[in-house]
Amino acid sequence: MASTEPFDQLTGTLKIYIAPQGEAIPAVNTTPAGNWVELGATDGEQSLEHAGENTYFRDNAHQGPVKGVRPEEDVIAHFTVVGLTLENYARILHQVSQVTAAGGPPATKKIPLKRGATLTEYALLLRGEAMSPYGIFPAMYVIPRGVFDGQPQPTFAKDGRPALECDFYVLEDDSQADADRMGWLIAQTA
Amino acid sequence: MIDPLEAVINLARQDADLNALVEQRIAARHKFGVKGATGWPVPSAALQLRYDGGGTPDTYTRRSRLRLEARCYGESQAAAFQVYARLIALTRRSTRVLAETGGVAALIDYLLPDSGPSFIQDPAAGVDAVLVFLKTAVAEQAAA
Repeated sequence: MASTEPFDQLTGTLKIYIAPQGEAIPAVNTTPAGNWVELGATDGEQSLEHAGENTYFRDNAHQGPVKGVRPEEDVIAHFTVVGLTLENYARILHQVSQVTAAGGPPATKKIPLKRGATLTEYALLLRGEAMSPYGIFPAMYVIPRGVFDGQPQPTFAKDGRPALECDFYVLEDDSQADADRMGWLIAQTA
Repeated sequence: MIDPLEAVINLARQDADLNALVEQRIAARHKFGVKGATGWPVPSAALQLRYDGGGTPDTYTRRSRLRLEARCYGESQAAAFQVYARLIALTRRSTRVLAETGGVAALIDYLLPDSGPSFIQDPAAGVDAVLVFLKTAVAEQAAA
């Protein structure tokens, strides 16, 4: 295979798209549309955490471990949303249907702060327009099912701006192929 | 090895809005006071990009990480700021980009502002300018 340098050294940030869980996944080279909504501007670094510690087994015949297993694993996306429309805020807290608009005057929008006991499940895309390691092509992480975790804490300051720090926790999606149940990474190659 | 300054200059030249503003006067060395067709009128909108000498060398991979000095010229401070604003718009992209250099493509990982703007009057040219510093990373080998 031809060298993938310099494209395989990735630089840049991702756009976050959100949709109701079960929404069809767009092709990698298609800008998400329809029920897929870009989740506002983000600030700072974004990351995808492949979590889960291995357990190692030993026996009396060897000094080192002889077997390792991964009894649990998690995939968690971390990012910070600074585009704080009430629609974005609601998607992160609970769901966008919680936004109520009134004509006024004054015209208003309102969301409840209570998140409730039931978590809203979403699908998420973390997409980079030129994030493929094989050329100036798109690539994206696809998370078909997950929920917002954590305790977002928008903080107001004279020289700062409030933000919602998001931890998007992947749930297994049994409607996907076995290997893809916790999401996948897809990159265009040509 | 890719000339990273040439790559960034060509990236700026690829921007139609910026080119329309400066009428293709983008170079590593300004041409104010140069006689003949290649000279730039004094004053006029233009962009000079040159090495600043800063930046942290990438000692591990084949990538040039540099600090550049940009002088955004204009007929007035307001006109110079228009050139600056268009240059800053170039730095707002969040993804990598290709720029042609000497018949091959250069991969520019990023081009970002590294300072705020300063209004100056270029001492040599006597033209109003906005001075701003940029940081960039450009792959040393051709991308295609």
